[in-house]
Amino acid sequence: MILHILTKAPDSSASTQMQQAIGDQDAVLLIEEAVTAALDPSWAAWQQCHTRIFLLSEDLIARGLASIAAGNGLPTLEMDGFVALTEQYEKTVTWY
Amino acid sequence: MATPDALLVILRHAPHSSNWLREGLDAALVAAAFGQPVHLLFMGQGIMALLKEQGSGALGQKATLPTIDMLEMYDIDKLWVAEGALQRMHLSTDSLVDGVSLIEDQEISGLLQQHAKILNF
Repeated sequence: MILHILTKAPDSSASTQMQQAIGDQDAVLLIEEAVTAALDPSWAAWQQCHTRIFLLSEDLIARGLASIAAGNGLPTLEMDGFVALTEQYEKTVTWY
Repeated sequence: MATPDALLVILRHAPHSSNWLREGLDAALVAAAFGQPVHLLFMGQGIMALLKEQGSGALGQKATLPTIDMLEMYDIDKLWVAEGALQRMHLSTDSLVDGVSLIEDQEISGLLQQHAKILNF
């Protein structure tokens, strides 16, 4: 039960390595540069983790991707949702 | 396979191009020095840390190979590398230092589940 946090773009080696490490009970939070995943609904991790992967809306808004993420129907959460996730999962591993 | 209270240190950066590897190895050695069982997982460019022919670099800055050779003295004897990653780097085990344990790519997520503490460099 690990929360994986990705801070790099979906096509980065950090992202590929994270995808290898994700267990079927784990969750993923996309922050900073990783929110560019909002541009590509066909990115493998969207299917791999469908109900347990989120974009951080503050970073989406900062990068002007909020409406695109909404348009693509991708799951987002706010900072308080981020905090809730860190309480829900016993371990957190950040990929940067 | 892994003791549950062991620390897993994931090393994903190559020597020389940044401090990531050295800092990860230092963290592992400090934890081991305090009696914590430590296991290492090398991913992607981190596999370059295991090449046996490394030098100290043009500027003579501190190399990391001596640290790799010292791991055994700290009872750090699990140096995991995923076979797929090795192939993607076009490397084989005979260009790596001894003591490297190959695992299947699919075993990586299991490894993370089994370790109570994980540090990612």
